[in-house]
Parts: sequence; structure tokens; C-alpha cells
Amino acid sequence: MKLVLGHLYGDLLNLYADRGNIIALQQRCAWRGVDLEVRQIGIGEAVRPDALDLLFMGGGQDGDQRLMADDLFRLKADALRGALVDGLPMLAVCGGYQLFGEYYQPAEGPPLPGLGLFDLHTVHPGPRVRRCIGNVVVEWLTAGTVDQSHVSSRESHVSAAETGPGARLVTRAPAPAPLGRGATPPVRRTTLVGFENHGGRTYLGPGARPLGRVISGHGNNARDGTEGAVVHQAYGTYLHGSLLPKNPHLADHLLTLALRRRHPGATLAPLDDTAEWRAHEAIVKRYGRRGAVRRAA
Amino acid sequence: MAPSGRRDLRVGMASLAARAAATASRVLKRGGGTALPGLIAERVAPGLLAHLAGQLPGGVVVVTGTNGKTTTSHMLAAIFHRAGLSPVRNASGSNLSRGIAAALAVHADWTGRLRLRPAAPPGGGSPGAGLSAQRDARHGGAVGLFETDEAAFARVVPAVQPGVVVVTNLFRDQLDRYGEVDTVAAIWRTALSAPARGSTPGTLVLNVDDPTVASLAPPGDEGAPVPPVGGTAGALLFGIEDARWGHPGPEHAADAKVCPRCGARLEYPVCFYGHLGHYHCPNGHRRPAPAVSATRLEPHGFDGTDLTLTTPAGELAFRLPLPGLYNVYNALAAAAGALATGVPLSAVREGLAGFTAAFGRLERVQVGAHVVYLVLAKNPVGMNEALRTLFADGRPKHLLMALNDLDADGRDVSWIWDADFEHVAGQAASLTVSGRRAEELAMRLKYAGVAGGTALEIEPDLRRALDRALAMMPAGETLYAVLTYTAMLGLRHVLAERGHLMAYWDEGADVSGLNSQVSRLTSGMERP
Repeated sequence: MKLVLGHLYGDLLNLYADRGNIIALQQRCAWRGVDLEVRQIGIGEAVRPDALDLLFMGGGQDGDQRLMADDLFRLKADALRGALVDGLPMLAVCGGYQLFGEYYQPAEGPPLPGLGLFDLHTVHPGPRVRRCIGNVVVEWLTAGTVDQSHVSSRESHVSAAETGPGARLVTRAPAPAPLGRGATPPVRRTTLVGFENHGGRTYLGPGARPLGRVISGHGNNARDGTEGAVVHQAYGTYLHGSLLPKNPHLADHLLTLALRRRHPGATLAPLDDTAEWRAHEAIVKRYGRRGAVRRAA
Repeated sequence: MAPSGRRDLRVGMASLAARAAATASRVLKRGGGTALPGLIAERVAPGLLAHLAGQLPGGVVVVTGTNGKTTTSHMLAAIFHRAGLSPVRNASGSNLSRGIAAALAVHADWTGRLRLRPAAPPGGGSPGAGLSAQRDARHGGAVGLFETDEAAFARVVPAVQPGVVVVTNLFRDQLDRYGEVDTVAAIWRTALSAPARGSTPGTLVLNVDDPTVASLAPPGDEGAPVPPVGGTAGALLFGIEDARWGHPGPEHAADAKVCPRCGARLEYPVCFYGHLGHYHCPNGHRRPAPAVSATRLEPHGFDGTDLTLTTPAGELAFRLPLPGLYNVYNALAAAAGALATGVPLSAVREGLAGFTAAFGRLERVQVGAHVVYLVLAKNPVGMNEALRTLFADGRPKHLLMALNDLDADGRDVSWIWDADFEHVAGQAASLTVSGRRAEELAMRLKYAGVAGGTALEIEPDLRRALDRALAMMPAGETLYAVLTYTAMLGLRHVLAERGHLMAYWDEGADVSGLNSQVSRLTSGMERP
């Protein structure tokens, strides 16, 4: 089985260890015998959504982002908008997340247009306002409908996988976990952990749902308690650190979405994620209390 | 020597207060005793740094950059000693302006004048070294040698008015603290372009293999470096010319991908590591030729590297007793920095050939029947170079790796995903993972393919991790401890407690701000 991941400007936008996200997807596929091809989509290259199963965009420095902004709008914007509606699973982190929005309002000067994939905008509050920096723990609002059973229990894997009716995993507020199935009920981990470092404050419009609710840290704007955004099957977030290795449920969720576009009803084989959950739990334990994270430095 | 400089009673008071604080902190064993005294000194007399630095007869050399500034400073100090100069230095790790203030304040009297003892004879060096400089020393051959971190640079440079500024490199490091690489470069540029107070502007000693650093050269200077001997303002560029050790690049962990002059993509026919190498852009901007260069180098593993240096003052061939290309860059930076201050070539050779490792930078510690090497690795490029050097001989090694996320390490540990831990796969005879983020490092190693072959032990507590790592090794074997900054301090603390190593406060390292954290770390209380 083969999947193709399109990495937008991977050679330019690799701030904050975006490479870790790619490594996570690649290894988690390899361990299951799935071949994940990472296709770099650089400057001058068109996006061909039909040839992709998954798309990733990271963040970069201003200089690097300037270098690609023109190319992004000229060569890629239309294809990306089509792909979004078509349900291509996407993940955009930090700078990429901001670019997926409607516009970015710098501290000075006119607003810079975004791709308009997400109904959100970002405002930079000026150099006097502190950046949002630190460890983040959020409650993943879509976690309830994600098949995570393989995470903890092989027995529950098959039955849980069959509860997904058809190809699409609809992302909605979680239903209570059905307990008492077998001897060991599946542990549903609904937290996401990461590290944020952003000056801009992002505000969601009615067309975008938050990815999660902040337990500790700043999130989208340090005000409304939201973090990230979900539109169709596209995900945006400020969490790096890297995000996917220590959130294997999110990594597998994206892979499942990608797999099911081509193979409806397909499921991922379970993996031993002991190391991943140890890393995840260590962060939740240390930083996951409200107010446990220091103010932005 | 006679006291020089103006009287300034306020500076004098500040200095006395700083000295009292230093003494108290030594007595109480609260750490290196430099951060608090410096803080007090700067509070009492905000102009103290400028006032005292201005009295240094040999002027001031400032060393900055992401990696290698401590080793480069140590090398420069060794060279200065051989030349008969006596460097006044801020302690290792205390590279904020208050550390520099403290270093100067302890030499000041109550009237705010520097009282420097004449230079000590060069310890263990040949008696003939740097005769003219020794003569200078009797007339006050004290030279300020200050390392400053990327962020403090903007405050330190205008205050101390350095005659020589050495910039080693600019890598992605502690984004949460310093901001992005572009931001740091902009801060440097502003600090360096500020008009000098009265005196002539200093000489910039720049790593020409780092495009961002090279771009700090004054306009028009980048192609034709001005040999600064004799006090001419300008840039003295250094770099590696021996292209045999490079490969087409840059590496993925590169930070400088666009031309600092025109914003176009850079190409690297020769890349040594990270983004250091021979580069050019499509618009014809290319790496200028270095005046001080390694024209030939032959690595000999941990024994060091045979180097041939070409400089405006002549050619030098010697063995640098430190491994790795990154230490070749440190040696080049130190050689160029020393030449820029007018030190003779013979002192450069003696200082570098007789060099021993700086604090925590590949220190060798005998622990019973075992040898422990302490290797500092605090960012992707540093980690890659450390691992590459470690495994250069192809023999499996016993490893203890520790990742902390305290302020001094950088709270954001995502950099581990940009480091090539894949080097470790199949190379570890045993592997113990420790530190506040041990679990995360263990996971990184899993994704690097390490976990398959080697038993990987996770022990967040450094003391227990050391015990466990040593217990897994046959007697006589060597343990390589690869550590982030505070993990290195923590492990040294443990080794000192057990009598294998002098306590760090005896060596002038500035850890006072970290001391309580280190104690808590080593006692395991920090873990929930």
C-alpha cells in the first residue's frame, strides 16, 4: 500500500522542527508496511491534489516566507482551495497555519492576504506585546470520533474500527466513550501536547472550528481558549515540538483520513506506542495543569 | 601597575558591593558567584561596564555566535597567555552583560579604577614566547576577553567598545529565547553599525563560511578583507579552504538558505556542516575569500586534527588537539581574533597546539575504572557534529544522553527533530537517556531507528542515570555523556560531589542562577 504526502516548500519552511512531523508520518507508515512517499512541492511546482493523499505545510522565517509568498498565490492557491473542498487531509503548522487564513495584519502597514482556506485571521499586536511562547496542552475537541482504540488495546481495535461508517470520519464534539467492552476499556487520550512560539494572535470565524481547547498555554490568541482550526479535513495549529511524534493519535488520525480517501473503511494496524505516550504523558503531567505554564517570556 | 582611568566613586561602590556578593556566594557555596555580583554592580552603577572596560590597556575582544564561543574564548585566552598578555575574562557560561560587569568589578578599587596585576608568566609555555607582548604586559598588557550570547551582544558592544569582535557562526538555537535567526542577525547588524564612541571602529573577525555572518562585513569589504594588523578598521575573514571535507549541501538543518544580499536561494557546492561552506547565489553573490584559512586539514579522530593555517602573517602547521570540524572553526576564529589584536603567529601556534578542552566541551573525567567524556550538545548542528565525531572511528560507544528544557537549555526541545540522531543507530553499545525531557529524547531515538538494536534505558534522574550507565559497562570502558547545558552542569555537579571533579564554583563557571535548579535536578526533586 502506498500514500503520497505533499510537503509544501519543505526546503524553505522547516522552522521549529517541522521535519519531526514528516519523520513521524513516514515511520508510522513504514512500521505498518505502508510506503509513504514524501513529495517536495517547491517554488515553481504546481500542486496536483489528485496525486496526493496528504499535504503538510510548516512555518518559516519572514525572509523565507517572502521568498515563497508570490509563488504560493500564483501557482498553488487555486489547487489548494479545490483540494480543501475535496477533502484532502492537510496539516498546517505555525506560519503555514497563519497563511491558510484569510489575512495577516502586521503591527504596521496593510494586511497581507492569506490563502483563505480557513475562516480565520491573524493580528500582530505589536512589538510591545509578548510573544506566545511555551509548552501547550489542549483538549482535542474532535478526539471522540477518532479511532484511537488501537492505541491501548488490540482487542478493541477491530470493533472500534468497524464503528466508523464509511469513508469519512466526521469531526464533531466527542460522544462519551463506550466503556465496559471487554476486560480493559480503551483509554481515550484526548489531549494534544506541543510547544508554541508565535507573535500573531489568530481569531476564528464561524466557518472554522477550533482544533482544541487550551488547558495550559496560550493557543490561538491567549484570550478565547481556542487552539488551532479544523475545516473539512484540514487541520491548522500553533503546536510544534514536534507535534505528530508525541501525539500519535493525531498522526494516525491524519493517516486514517488519507487512507480512507482511497480505500474506504481501511484501518491502520496497531503499533506499540509506549514511547510516544510516555513522552506525551510526561508533558501532560508537568505542564497540563491550568496555570502550570509560565507567562510568555 | 598604576591605576588608570578616571575616578568614579559610584563605580567604586558598585565594585565593592559586587565583590562582597561574590565572596558571600562563594562562602555559602551558592554557585559561581558572578551573576548576582554583576547584577548588583550594574544596578548600583549602570555605567560601570563602559567605565571599567575603557580602562583596559590592551583593549577588548568580544566573542559571539551560536556555537563555539566558549571554546574560541578559551583558545584566545591560551594564545594571549602565550603572548604574555593577561586576559580579563567573564566566566564560562556567564555571557550576559552582568557576567562581564562582574569580571571587571572584581578588579576595581573603591575609586572605580581598575587595578590589574601584571601578567603572570605564561604557564608552561616556552619562555621566549611573545617577548614584545611581554614587554607590553609590564605596561599593563591586560586585555578584555568577553564572550557574550546572541541576545546580550547588543548591550555589551556599545558599552565595552571592543577593538575586535569575533563572530563564530549563527545557527538556530533556543528560538524561544533569542528569536529567529534573522532577528539575531538584525540585532547584530544594528549593534555593529552604531557609531563608535570617540575611538576608531573595531575589526570584525567573521566566519566567511557562514553567509549571514559574512554579511556583517562592512560594505565593500566582503571581497577584499583588510588585514587589520596595525589597528585598521575592517573585516578579517576566516574559513576552511580544504574542500575535501565538504559535500554538496546544505544540510536539512540549515538556517541560512537565502542570500543575505539579494534574498535568492543559496547553492552550496561545498558544505562542511549545517550551512557552513562554500556558497553562491544565482545573482553572483559568492563567499568572499578568507584571509585566515585552513588550507589543509587531516582529522585524526579524538586525537585531534592536523591543520595548516594560512594567514596574512604567514603559514602555520600544527596538530590541534581537539576533534571535529567545529573545533577547526573555533581554532580559525581564535587565530584570526588573536592576529587582529596584533599577537605574533608563534603565540597562536603555541596557544592552539597546547590547548585543552573548555568547561564541559569534551572534558575527560576518570570515574573509578571508567573514563567519562562530557560532550556539550545544545542545538541541531552541535549535536550532529558531536555525534559525527563520536562515531567517526566506527566503534560502538557507551552513551548517556540527557535533554533538559530549562531556560539555559531552551525550553523548546523541538530542535531534537532537526538533529540527526540517526547517526546513533547501530553505534551504541549501551544507551541511557536522561534529563527532564528524557521520555521525549527516547522517543526521538526510537524514530531514528535506535531502539531496535540497543537496549534503551530511560532514567530522568541524572545521578541514577550515571550509575545505571556505568553499571552496564565492563571496567575500563569509556562512557560518552552527550548533554544539554544544564544537564552538563548537573552531571558535573554529581561528579564533583563524588570527588571525581573539582566543584564548578572553583573553576569560575557561572551557574549561580542555575544552582538551585541543578541541585533539585540532581536530587530528583524536580520530577513530579
